[in-house]
Amino acid sequence: MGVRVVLIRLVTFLGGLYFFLKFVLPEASGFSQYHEQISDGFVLVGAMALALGLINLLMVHGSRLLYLRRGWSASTALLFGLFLMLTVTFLDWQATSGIYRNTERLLVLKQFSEGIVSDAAEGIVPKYEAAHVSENAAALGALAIAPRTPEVRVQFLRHALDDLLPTIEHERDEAVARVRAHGGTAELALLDRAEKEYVEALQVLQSARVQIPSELPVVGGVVGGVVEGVGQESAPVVFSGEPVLALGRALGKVASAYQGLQEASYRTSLLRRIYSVLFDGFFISLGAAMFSLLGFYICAAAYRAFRVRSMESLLMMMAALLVMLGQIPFGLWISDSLPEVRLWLLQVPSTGAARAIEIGASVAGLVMAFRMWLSIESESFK
Amino acid sequence: MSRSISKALANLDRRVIYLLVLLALMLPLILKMELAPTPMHSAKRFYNVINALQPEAGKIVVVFFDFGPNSKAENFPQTEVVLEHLMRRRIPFVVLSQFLQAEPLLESIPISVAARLMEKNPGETWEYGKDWVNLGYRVGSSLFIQGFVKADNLLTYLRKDARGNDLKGFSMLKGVGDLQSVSLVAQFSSLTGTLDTLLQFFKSDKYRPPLVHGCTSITIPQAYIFLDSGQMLGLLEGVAGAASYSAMLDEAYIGRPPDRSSLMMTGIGVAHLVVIALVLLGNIAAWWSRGGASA
Repeated sequence: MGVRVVLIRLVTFLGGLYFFLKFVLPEASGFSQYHEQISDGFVLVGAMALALGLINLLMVHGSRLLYLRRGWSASTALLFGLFLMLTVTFLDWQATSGIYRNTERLLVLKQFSEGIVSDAAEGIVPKYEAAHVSENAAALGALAIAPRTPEVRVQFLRHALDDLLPTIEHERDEAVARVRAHGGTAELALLDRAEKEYVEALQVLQSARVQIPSELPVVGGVVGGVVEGVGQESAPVVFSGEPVLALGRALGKVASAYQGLQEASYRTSLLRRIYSVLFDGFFISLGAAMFSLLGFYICAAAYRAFRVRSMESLLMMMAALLVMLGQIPFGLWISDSLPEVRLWLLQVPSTGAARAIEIGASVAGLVMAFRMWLSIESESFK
Repeated sequence: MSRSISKALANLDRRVIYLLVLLALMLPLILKMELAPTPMHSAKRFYNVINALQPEAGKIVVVFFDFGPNSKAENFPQTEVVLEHLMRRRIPFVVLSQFLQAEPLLESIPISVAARLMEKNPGETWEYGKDWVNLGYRVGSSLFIQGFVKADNLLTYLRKDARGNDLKGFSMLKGVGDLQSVSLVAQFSSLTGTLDTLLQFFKSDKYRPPLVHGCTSITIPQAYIFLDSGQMLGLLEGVAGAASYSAMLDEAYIGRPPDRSSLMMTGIGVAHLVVIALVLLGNIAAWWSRGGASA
C-alpha cells in the first residue's frame, strides 16, 4: 500500500471521525470550538474541486478540439459557451459592483451621520476620522486638527457632502441622458420612478442640510468649544442630533434613488443586453425546455406502458387518475370530494410508502457512509 | 376493421402524442381560458401561516429560492404569490439561496412583485431595504446553515447583502439578533436535498423556526412526509398550490389583478385530461387487441 493511499485513507477517516464526534458530543464539551474554521476549510476544498472540474473540462474538451477528435464541434460549442458566459458574467458582476460602490459613497455618509449621534449620546470622541470622511483634508483647515466633538464631526459630514454632491449630480445627469437616448419602455419607466424619487429625496436632503450650522462656535479659543484631547472620552455634551439624523435619512433616500438611476442606465448598456440575451434568452429557456421535455416523455410513456395487467396495476392507475383529477379545476366538475380523496391518497398510502423508501435509502446510505469512512470503497484511489 | 383500428392505436406515433400535449398546454394560454383552481388543504395551511405573522421590529422571514431556470415554471408562481402576500402584510423578509443558479432570480422576482403592487396601489411603496433585502447565493450549503443558526448576531454573520451593502445599514433589519429573530422560513425548491438540509440543520437547541415549503409536482410525495409530521406547516404543490394560494389572495384583497398561476393551472389541467385520456385509450387499445387475438 503506497503512501498516497494511506494518506487518503487517514484523512478520510479523520474527517469522518470529526463529523461523527461533532454530531454526538454536546456543545458544552468544547469540541466544536473550531468548527467554523474547519467548515471554511471544507468550503475551500469544495471550491478547489470546482476549479479542478473546470480544469478537467478544459483538458478533455480542449484536447478534443486541438486534435479534431470525434465530437470536436460539440466541444467547441461547450468551450465557447463556457468562456462567453464566464466573461459576460464577470463583466456584469464588475459593472453592478461599480454601481453599488458608487452608492456606498452616500451610504457611508448616512452611517457616519448615525454614528455621530450615537457616539454623542454615549460621550465617545473618536480618534482619527478626517481621512475617511473627506479626501480633501486640507480644505478642512482648523477642523483637521480640532478635537472630534459631535459639532466638529458634523462639519466633516457637511464638507464631505459638499465634495460629493456635485459628482453625484453629474453622474445622475449622465445616467438620465443615457437612458433617454437608448432606453426602452421598461428602462424609461424605471428611470421615471427613480428620477421622481431622486428629486424628492434631494429636496429633503437640501432642507435637512440647511438645518446644519455652516460654522463651528468658538468657545475659549478652541474650535468646537471642547477642551478634551483627541482620542479621549469626554463627558456627554449637549448636542441636538435630530437635524443630523434627518440628514442621514435623506442621504439614505438619495442613495436609493441614485442606485435606481444607475441601474436604469446600466440596463441600456450593451453588456447588460448581452447578459440578458444569454441568461434570460438562452439559459432560462433552455433549462425550462429540458425540464418540460419530461412532461412530453411521461405522456408518451403513459400511453405506451401504463397498462392494467394485474390488480396492483389497476390500483395504481386508479390512484394516479384520482390524484390527477383531484388537483385540476376540471376535477370539481366530476365531484367536490375529489380533492379530499386526493389528499387522503397523498397523506396516507403515498406518505407511508415514501417514508418506507426514505428509511430504506437512509439505512443503505448509512452503510455506504461507514464503508467510505473506513475506506472500504477506496479501490479507485490506488 | 376493428383490428386495424386497435393496431393503429397501439402503434400511435409518439409525435402525435407530443402534438396533443403541446396543443393541450398552448390552447388555454392562447385563449386566456382561466378556471377557478381546486382549493388545496396544504396551500390553505401555508396561507394561514403567513396570515398569522405580524410585522414586528427585529423579526424577519427568511425566504430561500433554491431553484433555477429548469423549475422556474413551477417555483416562480409560488414565490410570486407568497412574496406578494408578505409585501401586502408589510412583513420584512430576506431572500437568499443555496443554489447558484437562483442568483439572478433573487434580484428580479421581488422587484417585479413590488413593481406590480406599486402599479396597482398608487400612493403605496415597497422598497428594497425597507421591505426586503437580497442576501444572494450563499456558498457552503449545510455548513452555511449550521453557521447561520449558531450565530449570535445574524447581521454580523451575514455581513453584506448581494449588492455589497452593510446589513446593519438597513432599517428593516434593526434589532435582528440570533436565530430567534427568524419568525418563519419559507423555501421554494425542486431539490429535495436543500429541503433536507433545512429540516436537518435550521434549528438550535432552543428554537426551531416554523418552516413552509413550495415544491415541484414531482417531489410532492416526499414533501408530504414532512407536512404530515408537522416539520413543515404549509406546502405549495407545484403550480396547483400557487393557483390555490392566488385564489385565497383574490378573496382577501378585492380588486387584486390576476396573476399567471390560474392561467397556467388551467393549461396544466387540460394537459392532465389529455394524459388521462391517453392512458385510458392505450389500455382500451391493448384490451381490444388482446380480445381480438383471443377471438
